[in-house]
Amino acid sequence: MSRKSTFVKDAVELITMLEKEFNPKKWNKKPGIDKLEALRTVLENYSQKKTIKTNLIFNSININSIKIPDSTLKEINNISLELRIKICEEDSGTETIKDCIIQSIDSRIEYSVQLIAKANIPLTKVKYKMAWHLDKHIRSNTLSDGVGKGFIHPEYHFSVGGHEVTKDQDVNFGTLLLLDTPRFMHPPLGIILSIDFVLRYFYGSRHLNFLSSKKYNKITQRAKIRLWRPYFLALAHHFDDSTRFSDLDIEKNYASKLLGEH
Amino acid sequence: MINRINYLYYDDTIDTAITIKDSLEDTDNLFITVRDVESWKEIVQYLLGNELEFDGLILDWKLDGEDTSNADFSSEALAEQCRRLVSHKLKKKKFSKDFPIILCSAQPGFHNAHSSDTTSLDLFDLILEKDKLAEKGSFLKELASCYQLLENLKRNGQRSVNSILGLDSSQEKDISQDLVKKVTSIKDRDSHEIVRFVKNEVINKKGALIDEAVLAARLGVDIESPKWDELKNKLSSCKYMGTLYNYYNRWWADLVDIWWETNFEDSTLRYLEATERIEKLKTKYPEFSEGLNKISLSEGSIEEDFWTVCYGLQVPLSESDGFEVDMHLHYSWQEKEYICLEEAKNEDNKEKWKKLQEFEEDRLSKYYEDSE
Repeated sequence: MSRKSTFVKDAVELITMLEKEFNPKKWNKKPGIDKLEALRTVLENYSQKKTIKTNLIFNSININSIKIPDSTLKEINNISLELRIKICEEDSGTETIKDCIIQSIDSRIEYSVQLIAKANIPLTKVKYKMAWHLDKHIRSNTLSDGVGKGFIHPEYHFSVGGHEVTKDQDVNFGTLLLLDTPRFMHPPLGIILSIDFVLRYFYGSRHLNFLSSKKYNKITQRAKIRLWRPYFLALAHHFDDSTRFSDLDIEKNYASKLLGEH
Repeated sequence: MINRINYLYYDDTIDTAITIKDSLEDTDNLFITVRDVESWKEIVQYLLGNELEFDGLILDWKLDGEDTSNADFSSEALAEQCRRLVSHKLKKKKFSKDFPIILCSAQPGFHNAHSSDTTSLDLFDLILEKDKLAEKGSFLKELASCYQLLENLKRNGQRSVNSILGLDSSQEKDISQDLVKKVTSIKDRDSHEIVRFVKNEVINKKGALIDEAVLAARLGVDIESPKWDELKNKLSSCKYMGTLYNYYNRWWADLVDIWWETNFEDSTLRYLEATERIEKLKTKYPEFSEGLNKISLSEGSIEEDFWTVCYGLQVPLSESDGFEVDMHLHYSWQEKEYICLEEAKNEDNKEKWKKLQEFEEDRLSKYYEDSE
């Protein structure tokens, strides 16, 4: 008999690990990750097909992950990274290959993972900001909804900037001329994988024991099997019309949507 | 100097009381003086007038059980009066010390009836049936000694977080600072409040402190291993030496983690599996090349990063395999409890854990799908 996992159990376990690793509840320690307890409460009260909306604040990210001129970098302070997640996820089982980001019982499909970096220069009004987001292209059942028509719009895509930056009157854009960003294909990130994304991109080697531990990697691997295995198998099947995937029940059009071909 | 501990025991059924006295006095230097129940006025007067003669009080739950009883009051009322007389004068008289008060009864399960009235629960250090009380000699002795120590510390102005928790100043920095803050805030209160807090919220909750079974689980070692005691001795610097430590064997979880980090090249105990933990112990200490056995997995478990024990069956368990119990934790230093698959299926100790987290019910149902 194999061990049974669910994304909620794994996410709760990850939170317990993050609390130990980043928030050791000691004085004189750097600020760690805020709102973990709130996320734990959300998960503990989770019921199937319910949308989870949550945010975590990552303090003390690696300064080397900020790519701006050194002269500016040394002036800024209070750097934080907010991760906002809105997701309704479902375990599809191993034989069904379908999109596991689903419509919740109380609304249409809602999905977004946003990363918002903020900083300021102390004692001034100067604020710094940048945002990335991973979107799902929400369509009607007929696959055409007009939005995004005319350019490549893969089902799951990363964008840089967006409304979080362009609609914010407090942000000074300097002399960068920001073009609309390409929608980079990216497999979906759930709660576990978006936290993993932040830790691996913005914390560097300071938590190597944690990030290389078997425990942590088992949790992220299981999350990839839940969300990424269907994504890549659907794509592989799309380009391979042999019978090697015949034992799988693959959602029609899933690959085309992922590729933005509609 | 040998410390003789004397408890006064009020009961209206003298025969039973004598039997219990005899059992309790099997514990060295523990003495029980059985006294028949008197009227409220006489009893309070006696206690105030003879406080040097006793170190603690045992009260029968129903002092008026026998027709011949002189009791015109309840045990709860007497306990309340005693607690009050520790901090407040009444007709210019008060106790010069705080002392433990135990409530017992011959009636099985009486403390469940008693727990419906939680207002008086806080008055007693221990509430239990008489047959169980008879086996609690060493606890009664340790309890009264702790009160004496806390009272002395208070008198000498030396009561501190470190003296209550038995820490030195460098250890204090390494344990939960929420716990340090909390104990700081209550350290000058009456001894019974401190003892109750430490016993209920620190010693008897997994988290800041862990017991021997959890310690063994965290080291990945089967507690029946021939060299377990020897390994345990290596961790003597992590041993809990605070209030009631002679009775409860506990270790500071944070100090154990730090001990591991220091001794095993910055590796993190929590992130290692039992095989890796034991391998590191063997490499560092040649005397353990034999004699430490790895914990075996319980039914349905596959993860070897043991961190806790089943709340029902006490078997070592990884938090990944365990089913999280739905329980409210009072303080940040306390940890969630988990049960193993066998307990989740059979529910043998359900009165203890009561309910699983909702998401664990989902996961548990998957195990039943398998067997269908």
